[in-house]
Amino acid sequence: MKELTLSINDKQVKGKEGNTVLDVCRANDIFVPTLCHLEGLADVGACRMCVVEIEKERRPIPACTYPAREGLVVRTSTERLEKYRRQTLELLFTERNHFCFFCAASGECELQGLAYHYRMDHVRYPYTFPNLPTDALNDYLVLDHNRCILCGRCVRVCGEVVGNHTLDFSKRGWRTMVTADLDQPLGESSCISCGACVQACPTGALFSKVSAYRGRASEGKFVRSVCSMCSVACDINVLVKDNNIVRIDGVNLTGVNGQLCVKGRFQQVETVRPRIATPLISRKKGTARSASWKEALDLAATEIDKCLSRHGAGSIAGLVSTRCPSETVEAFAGLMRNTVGTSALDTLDGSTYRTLVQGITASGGNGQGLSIERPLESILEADCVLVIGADLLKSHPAAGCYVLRARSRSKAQLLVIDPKQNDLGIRADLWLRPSEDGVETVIKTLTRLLAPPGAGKSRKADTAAAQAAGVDGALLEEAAAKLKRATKVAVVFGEGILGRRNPRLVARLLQLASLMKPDGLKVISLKPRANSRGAWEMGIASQARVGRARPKLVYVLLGDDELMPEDWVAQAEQAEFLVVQASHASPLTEAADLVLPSPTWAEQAGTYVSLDGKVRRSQAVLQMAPGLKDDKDIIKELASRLGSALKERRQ
Amino acid sequence: MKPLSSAEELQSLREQARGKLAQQEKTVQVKVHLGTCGISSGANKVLAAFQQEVKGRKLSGVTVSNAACIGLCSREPVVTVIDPKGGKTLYVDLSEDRVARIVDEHLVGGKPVDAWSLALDSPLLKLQEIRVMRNQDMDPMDIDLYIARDGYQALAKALTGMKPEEVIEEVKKSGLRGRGGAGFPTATKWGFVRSSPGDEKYVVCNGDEGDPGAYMNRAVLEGNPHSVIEGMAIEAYAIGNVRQGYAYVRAEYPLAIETLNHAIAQAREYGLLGKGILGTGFEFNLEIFPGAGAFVCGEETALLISLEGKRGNPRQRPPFPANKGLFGKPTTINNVETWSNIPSIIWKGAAWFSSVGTENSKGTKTFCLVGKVNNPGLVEVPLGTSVGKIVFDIGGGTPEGKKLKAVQMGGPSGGVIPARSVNVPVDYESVAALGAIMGSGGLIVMDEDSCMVDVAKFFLGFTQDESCGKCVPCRAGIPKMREVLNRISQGKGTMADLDLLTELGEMVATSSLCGLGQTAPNPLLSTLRHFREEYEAHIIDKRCPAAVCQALFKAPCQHTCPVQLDIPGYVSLIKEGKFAESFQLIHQRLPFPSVCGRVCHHPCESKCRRGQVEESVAIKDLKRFVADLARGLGVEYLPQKAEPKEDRVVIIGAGPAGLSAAHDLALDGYQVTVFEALPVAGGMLAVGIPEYRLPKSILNAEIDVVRGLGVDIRLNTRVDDLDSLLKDGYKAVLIATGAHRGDKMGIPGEDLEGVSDAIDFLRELNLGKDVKVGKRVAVVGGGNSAIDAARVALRKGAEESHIFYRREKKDMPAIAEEIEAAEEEGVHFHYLTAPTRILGQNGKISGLECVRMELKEFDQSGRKSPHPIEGSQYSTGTDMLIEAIGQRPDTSFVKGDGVKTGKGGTILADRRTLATDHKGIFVAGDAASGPQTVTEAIAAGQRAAFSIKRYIQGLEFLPLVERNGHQPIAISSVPPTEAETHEKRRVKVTQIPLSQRTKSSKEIDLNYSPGQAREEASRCLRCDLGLGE
Repeated sequence: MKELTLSINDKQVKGKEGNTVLDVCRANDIFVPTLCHLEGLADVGACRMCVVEIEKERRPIPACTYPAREGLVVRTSTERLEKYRRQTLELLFTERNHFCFFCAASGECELQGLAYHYRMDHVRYPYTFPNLPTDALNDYLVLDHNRCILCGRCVRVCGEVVGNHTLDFSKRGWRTMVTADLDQPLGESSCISCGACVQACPTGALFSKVSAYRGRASEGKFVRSVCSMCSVACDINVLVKDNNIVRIDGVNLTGVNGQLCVKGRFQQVETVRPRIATPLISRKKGTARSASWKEALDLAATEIDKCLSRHGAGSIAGLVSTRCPSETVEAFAGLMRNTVGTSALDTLDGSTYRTLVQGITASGGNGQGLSIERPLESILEADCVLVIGADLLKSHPAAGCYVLRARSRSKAQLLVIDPKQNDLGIRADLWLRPSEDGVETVIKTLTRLLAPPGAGKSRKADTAAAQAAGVDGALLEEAAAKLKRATKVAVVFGEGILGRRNPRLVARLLQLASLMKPDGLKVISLKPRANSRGAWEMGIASQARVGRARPKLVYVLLGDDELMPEDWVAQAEQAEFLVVQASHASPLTEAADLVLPSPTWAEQAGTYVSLDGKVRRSQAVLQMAPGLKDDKDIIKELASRLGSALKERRQ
Repeated sequence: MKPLSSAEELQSLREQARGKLAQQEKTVQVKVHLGTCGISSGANKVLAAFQQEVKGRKLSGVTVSNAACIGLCSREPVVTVIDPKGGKTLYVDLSEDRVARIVDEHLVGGKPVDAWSLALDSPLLKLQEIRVMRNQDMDPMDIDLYIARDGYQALAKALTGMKPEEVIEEVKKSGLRGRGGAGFPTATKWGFVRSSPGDEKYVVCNGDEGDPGAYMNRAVLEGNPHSVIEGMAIEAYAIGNVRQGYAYVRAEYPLAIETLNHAIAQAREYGLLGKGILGTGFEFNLEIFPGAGAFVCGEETALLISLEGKRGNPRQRPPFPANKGLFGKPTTINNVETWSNIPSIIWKGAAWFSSVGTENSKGTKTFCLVGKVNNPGLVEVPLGTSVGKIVFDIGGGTPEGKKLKAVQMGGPSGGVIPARSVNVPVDYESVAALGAIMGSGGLIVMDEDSCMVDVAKFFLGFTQDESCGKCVPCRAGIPKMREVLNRISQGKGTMADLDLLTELGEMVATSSLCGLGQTAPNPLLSTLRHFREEYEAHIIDKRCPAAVCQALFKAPCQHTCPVQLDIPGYVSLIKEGKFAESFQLIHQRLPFPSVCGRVCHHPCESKCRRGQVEESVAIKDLKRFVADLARGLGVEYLPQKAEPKEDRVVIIGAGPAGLSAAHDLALDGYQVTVFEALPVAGGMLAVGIPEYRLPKSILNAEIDVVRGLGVDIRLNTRVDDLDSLLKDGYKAVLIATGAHRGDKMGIPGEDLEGVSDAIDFLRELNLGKDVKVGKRVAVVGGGNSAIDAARVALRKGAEESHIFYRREKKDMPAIAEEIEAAEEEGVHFHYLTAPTRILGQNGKISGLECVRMELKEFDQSGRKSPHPIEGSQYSTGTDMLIEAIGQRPDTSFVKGDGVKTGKGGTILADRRTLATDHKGIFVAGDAASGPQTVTEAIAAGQRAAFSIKRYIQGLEFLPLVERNGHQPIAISSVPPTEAETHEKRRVKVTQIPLSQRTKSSKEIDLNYSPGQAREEASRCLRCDLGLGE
């Protein structure tokens, strides 16, 4: 980029071509007040706070929209500008009802901040005191119109970044209101509660129900971490006060991986699940009692040792949740493989992994494994996104928003193939909704329609196939046409494909994907948990030995995962002795003979590998609750007990 | 029809069409003008009636056809009849029942019905320069007619004979500037778009005309749609890489959309739109996009965004549409009228276009003349024409002789041009210099009944609702300005509010995002600039001079009355027959009810709401009725007098101001002495007004009431030392010496015998002196004194009485009824005539040399200035000349007392408190203000009395006056019955026969009978009850 030299406040400063005057000011530490500007959003020049004087321009002009040019002479702080800015603030304060003393944003509010900056001790205009409603019908966020300054940051973040376009303006002039859809209450609108608008709001007009009044930024500290709610593994900034989570923000709201979703932003601020505080020993179902760490670990070591000696290493199985960070998974695998010596080790989502790699192999991608997959950002560059068997906005909402954003920003076409209810489906240009069994037929037919000419095509057969799959033939052809026309297709698939445990289906899908421009196989599969890919890459899930082992003792490391495939529960319950290491009570801990308390995601540091292979490191954001131990330490202590037990026995 | 494939084919089609037209012109053509306004006035029925009559009578040689609107909106339905022999006749105000007579007398009989036609040489038609609206006399739905008049020849010329650069150069030479309002040079804009890189560009026609009361563009789209299409096609060619154009027309213009749609379809059929136009490789398509009704979509960026299908909010420029416009492509966007001008610029040349206009504003402009003007409608004049010419000559001035106050120019975001600036030529720069804008051409005429605070509020209300709401200054600033204005119009404003408004207005104008916000404060800022005193009246005096701001008053009549008389109260009491109570109600506020019942200039009647029904209530006559009746019945005015005080006040001058002050001070117990230089009391009432208007007996009776309160009036006493009065123990001095000195004309011969001054003439007569009156008396002037002198001269034996006035009758300052009466009595009026020399023989006057005058430019008063016509001098014989051109106070007695005098010898004092710079000395009436009316003098006397009381009590002065008249008198609050509100003209007072008038000094007007008075009083609408608001 070409470098530019500008004169700002009589100083020569550097900028880059494509910069706005505001960009140059910010890059050179020149203060220019803003309200409607938010880095990464299109600038609109609405609030008029950043007005600057530019030589040869008749009137003050917003710095945020003015392109920097070589030799531009700018003044950012003349008497006239400061007067206008103060007047603008006065107008904003009198326009609606800004009462800082009971506003959730007080202390962090940009309007309040600028009022302090300009020492606005009074206003001269009559207050309007409009009688405006507050919309609190959404489960997580509140829109209080009384505090809205109509800067439009929420509207733009919802459209440009989230791509959902729920928020917009209604009415005109002084009656203008931020509105959801066609004037729906937020809770009944198309809002996906991602909360990007809350983070974008400069005042307290949009605020989080779960975070409001829990504390201010100035009272706590922000800890950078990683969200473990799904395999997108977003970067998060966690505000902590008194060892409690106050709020979770996206690290780079308008960039890639920063907008967060309802789970990441709101659902983990406060958990209602009952915590396990101490080790629990239960000789009979429902008779659990607290035990000391020593007693518990001794018991675990003894039982494992007993089982080893009675039934051999093969009778012991280890299961680990892929929500656990890699270090924990690794420690657990080390314990099971090296100390216990069993190879009956799997992750909770191992079958998904096996279906996927087998499919890749079957499609000719032998040995390539997950490396055929593309980064999530490639969705943003696509001009057509094909989503198969995945309800992204539910399972991986942040990734779902990549699709919406591509659709909104670069007008990408969206095709969805899913028999199930699908929130992306209702937003798609085309939603093929075959019967449960028809998915494969649809994929097969689409492949045939897209194949080069002369490859045994029969329209009649296609129509019949479509009919059999429960899809309108014309729609199918339209879908094929769209895919053919597109130059950059991204194929995203998930549980609806992987959950069928049918590698052939995966192979067929990959074959279809290989016909897409530009280079085929631009696929992204959606992994079930935050660290699925990390755990899989350790080879833990390569072979399903656990199922065949019919283990006598099962050791499940659940961490703060709350899901457990049902067949595992059954298997685990059949074991003679069940050890569950988990942070919260669940049916599985109920069934366990021994429960070891885990810390939560927030109480431990660790590494996660996102669904598209990015390594992300998280920090502990909270101090561990008293009496708890890190998962790795528990494993280490257990290993050491076992080691000495085994050593003792061998001796 | 096969598409035209070459320019030659177009030319042969033109010849064909001309032939068709020539055939038609051999017949009698009846053209019914069917614009939107015509249709809504019933033009369709008139058309049908003509068709039926012509068909029914089997008239051959008559063609009945449609035509478009020619701008005579207030005279619709309008029909043009063109007779190959008899020429053109313009029928106005038609209805279908008038058609038969026109057919009979004109179409059959060959004689136009003059009674219903508008003279073609009326200034309304003559002063216009019709260019943009050149085709409004034809059927806009017929493309052949357009082609017959060289339509699309300009396009052919450009496509086949001009390079694109040459087209732009021609437009540049023409000096055409954007007609949408900003006046940006059109060719420069085109140049930007042409040089902007891109292989896809657009042209857009801005037809989102949203100003209230403006419909210039509608008329063009309805009447001359092909000129817009052709203009856009020419520009598309000039810019290059344009294949598509859009016409954004507001959806509220269904007829415009229909007409333009039809024209586009025709042009497409003829191959004038589409691919390969006229056999060249040029392609251009045009589509209409109906706008959804947002005013802000007239702003170019908002319009383009709306055209893209999004919420029509403006965006910050740069980038400009020339670089990034519709769908991000370079785009030209011009106003309908701009487009319409293009074909003739190319066809007739830049020189033709620029032959009219001013140096920087070339060509003609259409304007919508609306509001308080006699000929509202659409006019087209060369740029540079003065506002006055448009309003007075073309527009016919303001109705009912009310005074022009201002012209709002440029719609709701324009500004006011005050009456004193109507000379300003309407061009882009001059208008902007006054704080208004050209805008798209709306001209709203406002008269004395418009309140400028209210006007600002109204327009801000419009822009407040039409703001898009995006940027803070516009969205929040406009409502704040309005809220502050609101409190001012409710009398709750402060002077600091004016600074606040100025500051806020400037901020909104400077820092708003788009043109809407940048211009929205114009009505506020321009009214503040030109009518600040009106704002101050609301704030300081709690008065709305135009009697508009409801919160400040009960009824407009009372509010307009200088002494704030409870007019609805006394009129209502008369209606109820409670005459004595009515009299008390008047007298406790007004010391001279009988006098004012005769000579008041009654501003109340001009604001009377009954006047909007048919005629105002005869408020003055009712006052006289009840006062005379009371006196006849011996009803006495019995005020409650306060305990006598020690403090003594001296008043110099026993005129209406002095005596009113004396009355009020005496009522409060002060000891008042009045010094009067003349041998009689009453001032001008006694020595200025003739007996036939105000009998001395009546005046004296009312002065006696003042005396009765203990006021000591010392006649024949001249005062020449003010300070000594204060030293003598008087606590305060009020100067109320009036204006008793006549102005001189300053022409040769004024020293001749037989030349006198109206003031002197009337005074001497009134004092009973024997004044010799000539046989042929000439009076110079146009005020009440001139009329009085001329009428008195007749009564004193003059054979002829002549009045010479340098302007026109409507400009005369005298009371209209007085002028009428003088005419009836046989006074000769010589308008537009001024004496230049008094001729004499042997030191005596023998004649008068006069010159004829013509009215030219407008002066500060909003009237045209008279100028002598060279060589028009003539002489006329006269043996007496009375000068009545003006009068001034004689304040020679004020010397070195710290009391200052100003313009015209007036004594300087605070306008509101009437206190001079000298402590204890006050001044009221004509001595302070120069010649004013009786009632204003009375009001001033009351003001002075109030200030003097506060001064003596050691209190601060107050700008607001507390007048007498607080003793409660019960007044009915029964509103008029429905029958009473029905149209009913005023009850006229009886006058003595004309034959008796000039022979005696008897009062001319007789009084109402009680029955007549009650009937007249029942016409009062009782605005004071606040019903129906």
